[in-house]
Amino acid sequence: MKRILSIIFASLLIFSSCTNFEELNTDPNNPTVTHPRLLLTNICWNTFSENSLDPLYASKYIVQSDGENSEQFYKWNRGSFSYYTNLKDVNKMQEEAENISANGYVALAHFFRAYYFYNLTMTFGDIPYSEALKGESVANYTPVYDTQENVFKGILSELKTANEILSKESDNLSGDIIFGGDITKWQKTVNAFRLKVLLTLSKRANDASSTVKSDFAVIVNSGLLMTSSADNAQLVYLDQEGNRYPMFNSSTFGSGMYMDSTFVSLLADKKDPRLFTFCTQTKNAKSAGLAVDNFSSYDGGDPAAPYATVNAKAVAGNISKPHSRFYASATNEPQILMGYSEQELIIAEAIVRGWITGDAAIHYEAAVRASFKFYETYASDYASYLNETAATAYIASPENSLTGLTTEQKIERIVDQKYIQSYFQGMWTPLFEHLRTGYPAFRRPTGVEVPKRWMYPQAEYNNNATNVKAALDRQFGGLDRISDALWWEK
Amino acid sequence: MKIKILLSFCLLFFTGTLLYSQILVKGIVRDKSGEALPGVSVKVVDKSAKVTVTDIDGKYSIDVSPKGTLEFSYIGFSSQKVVVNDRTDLDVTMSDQSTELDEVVVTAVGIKQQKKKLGYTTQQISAQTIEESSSINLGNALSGQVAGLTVTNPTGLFQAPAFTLRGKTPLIVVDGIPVESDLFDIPNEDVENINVLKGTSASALYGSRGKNGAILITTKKAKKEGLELTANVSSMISAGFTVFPETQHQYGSGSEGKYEFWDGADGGISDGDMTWGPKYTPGLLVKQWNSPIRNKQTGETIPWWGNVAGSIYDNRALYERVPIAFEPHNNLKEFLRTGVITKGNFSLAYKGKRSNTYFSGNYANQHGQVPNTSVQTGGLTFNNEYNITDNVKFNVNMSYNKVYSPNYPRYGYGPKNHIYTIVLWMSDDVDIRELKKHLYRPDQDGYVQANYNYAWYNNPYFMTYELTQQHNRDVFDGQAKLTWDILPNFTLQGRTSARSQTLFEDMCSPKSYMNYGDSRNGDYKNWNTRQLNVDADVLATYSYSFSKNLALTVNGGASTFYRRYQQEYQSTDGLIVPRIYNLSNSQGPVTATNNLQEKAINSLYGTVNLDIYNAAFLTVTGRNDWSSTLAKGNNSYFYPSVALSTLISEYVKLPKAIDYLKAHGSWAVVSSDLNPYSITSSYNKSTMYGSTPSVTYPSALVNSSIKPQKTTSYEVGLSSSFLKNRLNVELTYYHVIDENQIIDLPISEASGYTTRKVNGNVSKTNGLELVLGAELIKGKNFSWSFTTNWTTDASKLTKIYNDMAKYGNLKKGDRTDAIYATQWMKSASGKVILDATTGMPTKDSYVSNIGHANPDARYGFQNVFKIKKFRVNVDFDGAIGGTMISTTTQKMWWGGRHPKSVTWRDAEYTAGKAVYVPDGVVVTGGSFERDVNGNVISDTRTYQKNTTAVSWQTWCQNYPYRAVVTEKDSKEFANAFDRSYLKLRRLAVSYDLTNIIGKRIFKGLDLTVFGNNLFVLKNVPYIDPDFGSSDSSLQDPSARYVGVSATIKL
Repeated sequence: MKRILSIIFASLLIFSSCTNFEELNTDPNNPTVTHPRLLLTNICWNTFSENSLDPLYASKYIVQSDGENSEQFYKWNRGSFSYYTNLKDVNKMQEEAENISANGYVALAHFFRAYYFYNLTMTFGDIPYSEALKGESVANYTPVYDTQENVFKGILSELKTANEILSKESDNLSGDIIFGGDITKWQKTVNAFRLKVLLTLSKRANDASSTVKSDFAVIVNSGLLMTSSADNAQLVYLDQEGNRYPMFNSSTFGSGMYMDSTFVSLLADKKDPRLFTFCTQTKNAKSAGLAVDNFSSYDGGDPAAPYATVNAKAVAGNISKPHSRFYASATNEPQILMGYSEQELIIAEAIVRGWITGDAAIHYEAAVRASFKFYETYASDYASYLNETAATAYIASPENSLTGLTTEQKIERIVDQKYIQSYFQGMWTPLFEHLRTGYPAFRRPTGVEVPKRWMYPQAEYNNNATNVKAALDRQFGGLDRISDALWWEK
Repeated sequence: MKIKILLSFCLLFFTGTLLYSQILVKGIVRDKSGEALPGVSVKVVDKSAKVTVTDIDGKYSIDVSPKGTLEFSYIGFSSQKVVVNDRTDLDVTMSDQSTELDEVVVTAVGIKQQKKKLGYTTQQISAQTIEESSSINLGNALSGQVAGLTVTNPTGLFQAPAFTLRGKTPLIVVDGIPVESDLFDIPNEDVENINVLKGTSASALYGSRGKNGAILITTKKAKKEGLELTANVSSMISAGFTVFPETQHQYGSGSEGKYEFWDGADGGISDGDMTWGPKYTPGLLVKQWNSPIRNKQTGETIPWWGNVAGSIYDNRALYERVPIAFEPHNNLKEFLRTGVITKGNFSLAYKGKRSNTYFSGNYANQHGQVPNTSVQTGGLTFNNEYNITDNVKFNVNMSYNKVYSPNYPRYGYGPKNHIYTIVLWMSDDVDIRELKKHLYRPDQDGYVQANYNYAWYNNPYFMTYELTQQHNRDVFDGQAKLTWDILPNFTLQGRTSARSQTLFEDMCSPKSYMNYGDSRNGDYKNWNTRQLNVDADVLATYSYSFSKNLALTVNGGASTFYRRYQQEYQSTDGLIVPRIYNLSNSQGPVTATNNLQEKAINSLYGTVNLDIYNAAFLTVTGRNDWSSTLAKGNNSYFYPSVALSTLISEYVKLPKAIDYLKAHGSWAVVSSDLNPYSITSSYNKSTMYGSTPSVTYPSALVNSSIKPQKTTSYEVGLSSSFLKNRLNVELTYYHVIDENQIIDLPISEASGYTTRKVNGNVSKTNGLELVLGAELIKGKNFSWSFTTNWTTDASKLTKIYNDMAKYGNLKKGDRTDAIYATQWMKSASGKVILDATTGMPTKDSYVSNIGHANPDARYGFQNVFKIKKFRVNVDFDGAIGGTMISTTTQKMWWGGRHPKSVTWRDAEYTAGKAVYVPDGVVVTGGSFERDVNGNVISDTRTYQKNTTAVSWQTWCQNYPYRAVVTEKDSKEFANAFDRSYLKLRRLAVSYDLTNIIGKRIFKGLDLTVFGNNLFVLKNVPYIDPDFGSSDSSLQDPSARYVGVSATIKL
């Protein structure tokens, strides 16, 4: 008996000594530490390639004819916190960079944090900021919400920090698919984005405690800023798997998606040749053989009418569709996160508002020329309508010139230009600009208001109820509605 | 022949030793089917306890006193006592009873046990049921057979059934070795029996792998002395459909009653999508995808199929399409062909003195209903048991199986699925026969498919002939076992097994193939997967009888398990040359990845069985696992189990009608571990931009100190038999507590992470299972026996981690299968609230609980009728209750394919304006406020009936599609349904032809005519609820199969 038992145990020992469990459970496929450059590439790709049709419906560029689009009719409910998932990689980049003292990446981490927190607070109002992104580091799974005012302070301070670090850095960055590692260009991007954030706060600029105007002036006067479109923070798409234009091959364009009359008539009124690169001629216009530059050959659907009405107009052959390059071209046009043209429009508006001194028209014209150049380059089939001469004529026309206008009219023209160049660019910027300035007017059914925010995600109610409730109590008397104005809008 | 002599000699030997010859009784022992049973033990019930066994022909003779009693016993049959009563010829029929207590069943780790000693529930499925199932997958044979075992029956080719046992996924064990298998690689014909170990105590000896119960498959061995040859052929074909998706056949492609094809992407009139177009009226001509092209100037016509993009005809000023007849076609019926399953197998079994051997081969082919699809399986099995010496036995099992499909249909909601295209989105005006004849556009062979749509959908024939996916799997199983009976009561067994699987899969996508945003330049992908599972164990068994009334059996063992999984994946980025599916034909860089996973578990285990007075049986088991997937210090876990069974009838005098009464109870604790590499976080490869690589960090937080999760289960049951086995009842109640569950707890996304791994949540499950068998009629020419099983169970979330209020959408006390869904805003009285100006509903921003996914009860009925020499099997099964949201219904409404979507079209098109006034209310005043949990704070709303008419198309595309509508909300527009159904699973008629032709050549020649999946009574429309709890992947029509099978025994 004893002998048998010993045989059993001997075999057992053989079994258990065969394998080293810890070694066996070490992932041979993936690393646990990395260089920040590998994260930077991913962050750049994710941030710059974000493209969605939702803001295009909400901002009156396109309409849907085979279903009721909730953005078009302002029937949305909840927003998403998924930007925090993008921010997680930003945080990891910062951690990995700090471990090896690679400050350039730390600076960019601040920039991307500012970019995402800006978009988050614009979407919801108060959001987790100071305690956010600490799930792994300090096991904070229920971060408190910071007031929007404090979030803006934080964003501006991080951007300032980013600028300071970058101004001292000399080493080039690796893994940078935007500027090929050019630190100076990142610094310009950071400063341009600071101007954008500050201008967003135009309604708060007259608060007693506000330093918005002076901060703006300091950056314009002494900051490193973009000097041409060559400085654009933009992602160039490649014709390679995973690198193509996000809408490439999208089936959505093939059914029920048409142009919105708001956008088409704005461009037609301004005789804006960029229209030819944005959408097709209507079917009837094309059958009738009308010229491409005949503005009457373009039309849109009424975004406020029931979709059956738009469908009827489409069936009759009288609506334009988004241009085929958006789904048939693998690279189409680069995605601009922050560009020279937008920077110039921001500066022009600040001049008009009297925040800084200067000639608004110079900046306005530079912006329009840069935008024409962009489409001349990337929608080259239409280059002849968009060359230098065309831009000059366009700026000089009474519909587009800044001369002889009231302050308000100037602001409208400036914001309209921002709106035009935000087609398939800029995500929710046109909506935020509309909420800030009222331009351009967004057509909607009677009694429907343009929402001022999104409701918090259901998951926050489920997983962070105390904090989201406190934020709602503080802002909206406990209610969570899309119609309540946020701090920046008041 | 040798065997026969030997047996006769034995017989002589036994009879020769008799001292007190009184009368010689002779006879034949047969089983119920009339087949002679060799080896049956025949014992004289007196002090002498003389014994003989039946010979190869089932014959016996024995001396016994004229008034004496003989007891016949044989494993797997009920033993019976017969009073001689002066007879000298005494033929006996043995009955095999599944509830018979002395029946020996295989339990965990291959330990055989008499059923009466089991303190937990098991249920066996007979070889006959398995043999006659004729399906290509063994799993289908288990449907409705076992209380507590749910089997889904997918309707498509090569879709494997899924099992849940008491709500969890059980382990599948073949000849004592756990396997990971979809059962396509286990041939039905090699299966001797299947025993389902239901309770966790039953499978506790399998450790973490057996935590959810187990399905034990025992393969055939040579049973009978001598040589036996069997061969079986069967064939079945699809004969119509039990469930077929119904669509409307009155209106065609388009929108708002209008349609004209130009480019199939909205370039014509609503030619990008939808079936909301013109009505099919005789004489109506419309420009369609297969319209000829006409030169407007010359009048010349060119036959054409598909769009003209990029051709010289893409000039609407010069060319136009000629309108052709706009009429409906029966496309799905035209597309599907008759499914055929043919199977053949042979086996050769030889049982000799020292060794027995079984060898078999099988082949099956399923010709799919979808054109150009098929699955073939085949393999060889060999096993041998060799008695090296009288007390050392060596077993070896080897099998090789192949599963091969050159092309099988793609399921899932999307443009790769033929059902998605033909049922939901392609209108009947598209003539599928034309699509079959023209796969490519006339000018673009190999480059552009010919189709009616160029935005979303593929030509279904192009989809199945040009896009192919291959599955090519080779599975080798080997097992060697050495059993050494060291002492009569002490046995040592060592065993090793390996299962090696190699799988090659590929997918060839032609140019112009559409799948949302995927490349339209063609594509070739392949996957190489290799998996090796090694199990090795030793088991020692010691038994000892202290006295007649107290016996002890102890088993002790140790095992090790190692699993290695390796996969390589390669993919092109667009094809240079069409139809060349090779990685070197890639336009862009080839993508390649590989993945390796390893895992090991070491274990020690033991059992102690105590038999007291042959009336009470106690089993105590323990197992300890050490898993490589958990952190040191947390990776050792112990599973105890205790089971007690007692035969009350042995010590309590019960009425004569009760044959026996057995009660059992058991308790067990089991645990489980993780997948490999789950306790550390690592960076994953992300986008490669040009040649710049990148990584991303996972958004799920790991937990290196995670502990094994723990399941405690209790079970009590009663089983009894009445009226000499005419009626058998088994009733089991079980209670399962799942705690320390390893969950990915949702956390605030603002923490940067979406979930974190914790041990938490408690859920409790209560279940009741009933198995009832009865021989209702037992006559010479007619008998009817039936078995029914019923299961009801519910699992509730009783505690949430950290006492949080919610776990996802679930609240404490909710059923774990509760369905939370977005509904339309409703008034306090449940009427849908409509917008006063648009007449349209608004989505509720809070989700609501609309029911639970699992049925309240499941049941099965198996009937066996014997009419003279015919045997007729009739099996029903089904479910009661449960809710499912039907994707098919939702999408048919949206697309305009729903049969009810025709209702108001004519009226509206005639009136030229909206005429349909939805049944709902509009708010006339008051307010409605809710807190963050959606609970109503105040509701002072007042309403009036809606009077606004809405566009019928708009209504159908919203109300029954964009939110969940229950049957209670609206019978007409419901998209969530009660899942109850009753299915006639199988009808089979068998006859043994040797009754006519005699047994001179064949020992048996069974002929069976059968039908499977014959009929269903159900509530949910257009789909088969037997498929599972969701139709989000869409379903092939549920085909009815009829067939014939012949089994020859030599």
